[in-house]
Amino acid sequence: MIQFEEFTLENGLRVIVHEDPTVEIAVLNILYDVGSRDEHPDKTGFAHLFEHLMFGGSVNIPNYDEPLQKVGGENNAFTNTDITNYYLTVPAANIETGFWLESDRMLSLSFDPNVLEVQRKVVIEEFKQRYLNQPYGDVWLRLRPLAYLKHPYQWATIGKEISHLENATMDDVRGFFFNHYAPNNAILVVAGNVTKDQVKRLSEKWFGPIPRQHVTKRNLTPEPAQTTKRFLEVDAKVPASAFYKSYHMPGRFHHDYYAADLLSDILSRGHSSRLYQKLVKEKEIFTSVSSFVMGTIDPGLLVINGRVKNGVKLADAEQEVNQIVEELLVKGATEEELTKVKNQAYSTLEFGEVEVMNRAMNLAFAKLSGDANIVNREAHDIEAVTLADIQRVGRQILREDNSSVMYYHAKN
Amino acid sequence: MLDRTVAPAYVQDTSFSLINPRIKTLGNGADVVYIAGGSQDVIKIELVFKAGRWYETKWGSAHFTAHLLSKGTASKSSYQIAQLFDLYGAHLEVTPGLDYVSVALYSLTKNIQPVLSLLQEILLEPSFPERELEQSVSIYIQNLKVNLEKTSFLASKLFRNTLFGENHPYGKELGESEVKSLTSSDLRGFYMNFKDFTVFVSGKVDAATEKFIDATFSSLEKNTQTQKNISRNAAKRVHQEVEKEGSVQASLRLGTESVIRSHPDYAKIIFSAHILGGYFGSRLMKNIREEKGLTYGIYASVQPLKQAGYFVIGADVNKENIGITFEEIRKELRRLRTEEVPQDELLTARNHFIGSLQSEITTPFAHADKIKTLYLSKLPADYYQKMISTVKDMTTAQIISTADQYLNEENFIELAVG
Repeated sequence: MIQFEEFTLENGLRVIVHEDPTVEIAVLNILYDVGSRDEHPDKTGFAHLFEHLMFGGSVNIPNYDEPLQKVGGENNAFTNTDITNYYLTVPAANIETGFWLESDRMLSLSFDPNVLEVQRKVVIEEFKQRYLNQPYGDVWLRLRPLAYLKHPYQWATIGKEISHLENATMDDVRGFFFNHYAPNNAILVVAGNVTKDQVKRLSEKWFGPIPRQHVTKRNLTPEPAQTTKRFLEVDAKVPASAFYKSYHMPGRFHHDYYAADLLSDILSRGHSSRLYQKLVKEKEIFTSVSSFVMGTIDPGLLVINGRVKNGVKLADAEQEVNQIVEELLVKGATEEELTKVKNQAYSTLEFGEVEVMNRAMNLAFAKLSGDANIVNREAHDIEAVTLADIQRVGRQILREDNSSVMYYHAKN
Repeated sequence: MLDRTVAPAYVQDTSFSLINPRIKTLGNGADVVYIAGGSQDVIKIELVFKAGRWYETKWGSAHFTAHLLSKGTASKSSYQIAQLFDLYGAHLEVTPGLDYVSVALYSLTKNIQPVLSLLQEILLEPSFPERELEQSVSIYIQNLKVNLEKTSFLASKLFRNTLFGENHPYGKELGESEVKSLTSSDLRGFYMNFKDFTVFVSGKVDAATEKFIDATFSSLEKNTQTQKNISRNAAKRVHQEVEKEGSVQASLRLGTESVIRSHPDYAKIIFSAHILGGYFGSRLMKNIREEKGLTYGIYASVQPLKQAGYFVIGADVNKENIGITFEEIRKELRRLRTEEVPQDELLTARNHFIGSLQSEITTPFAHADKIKTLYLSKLPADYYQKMISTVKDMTTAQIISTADQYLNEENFIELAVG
């Protein structure tokens, strides 16, 4: 159970306080309701590039990192398809420094052209390091546009291609900032060794004066229901061929999300799972296999993937996977399997709450759904999933005509 | 009117309060270290065996003995073992290292009895099935082939090879033929080394759980591992650039041998390394990333193993920037050992170093990791407190002399793969 209190400032900033006097630190997490799904198709990679620019100095503070380091603080940030999330940790007594820094960069950035030039280069190096210079690094750059034809999830958060990053201009930067980085488009969570009164006072002081902005209402093209199976074959310089199959599924805040999540756990979580036992241990077709759900806010993907043993044809591997999926859909899961994946999920929740920063992030993300208290209902919602739910949701999701398959052939 | 150009006041706190561990010596002589804390119903039980690669007589035996532990007992198959852990939502993490093998069980405290009994069975009667070994070996080889495609893996491997020698446990990387030659009986033989162990228990522990844990580990045999000394030749300074066809970037590694945790200069060295490349505001990050945009990230760190330590700088850069990056790194190393660190930079680096050390210990598991380090390296309880005061008092002259003695680029190995 995560205890928390919340309030909203007049400018629309939603604030959540989670007191944990057992730690000596305080954490501050700001979630901006903007991700790569909000980008223009010709200017992709921007939300993430922008995250880098947020560390390049704000209107009154030339350098973000140094003053925080000076008070013993640490910080980082991440961007995904849905959100951009900034977080910092400080010795609890120095939490006001966090308010000062975060509020100033919410107020306005420095818009220093040199910062844009350097961060553009850094992000291009990141693109190369993580997506081009790694075996299997480009998999998601290829799989996304196969699975999504209309919705902006069709590009990866790093961007479709390096040229989009090369072409970003300072006007783009300003436009993006004033359209998305506003108090009424953000959720602030302060947690750790703090009190509600203290957080309220500091929030009013530092964030209160920031004016509300006009934020364009999100209006994304929904992904049309898929009606035929899609297929892509790729040759790559990798040592082992790999198989990817994705299926459209409900988004993170949909009531069937947990059933879909447990379904993927039944397929592949742990070494006793169906895919692992049959395909890695018994038949030795795959050397690794996994399935997972993407957990995106808009309808997402359930993905099954794995690397095959040398010499195994990917078409045969797919047949084997299909057979296991088919059996699950026809016969259903067993009571014992459902208990098992629920226990695993419950255990993950409990372990996930050990770290105060995780609790803060979970609260911020939950609040995005409108109700932060879903963090405390998750265990109950998982418990409520029945065998019938698993089968019903499985039959909706795990259909051939709802799937996109990629054969990633090892070519030497 | 709020003046946003002025930073709020702050306090400089130099305390470091670890949970006070309770060490219990069982009848068999094994220590169980209890680190109780946290409000979630979770527990971690970690056994650390003095049975890492250091003690191998046949390469790979420590890795595969550890890895095969959960793959069969006298009466259970790997499937039955996995089934039981999974059913209770528990997780067994086996980490074969260079000095130690760690076997860590994560579980909800309420489920600890059945999963701990299973762990006991695994440790008392492992069967090392031949077929499981074959499977593990073939998966290992495929993973190895994937890793050999990564410039970062190749560069780190070459660095340790060069520093410690190819036939030294710290320099060794297992090859295909070596792992293929391992047999089930090799593993059974090596398992004899799994007798020198300590248990670290962290998280929520009640009296009944504690009693059960004590009883479980009293049933294992405990012996003291024989000291083993391995000699090696001092590494020579080299500069080597290895071409890897088709790569977009090159991975750079620069470094030299360093000291272990108990060395009197350890705190001074890691703080000097911190200024150089240990945090986002460090000199290398500022110069190579934030000013020149040459890399996504660059770091400098000290890796203290049990018998020796090393210092390493790493970064991935475009191939055409290899030369300039090496040159800039050398320049920063030279500056650190010849010029005084400005007071303002020193203050920032110091406060950040101390603050991040304090921020690491926010969970009972993190406390346990620190306490484990103290225990295994036989360091005093106030070790981290002393480290903080050394860093707090370190002068610019001491930084220069420390860098000159331990971080002198003229003695460095320099490698690039890509």
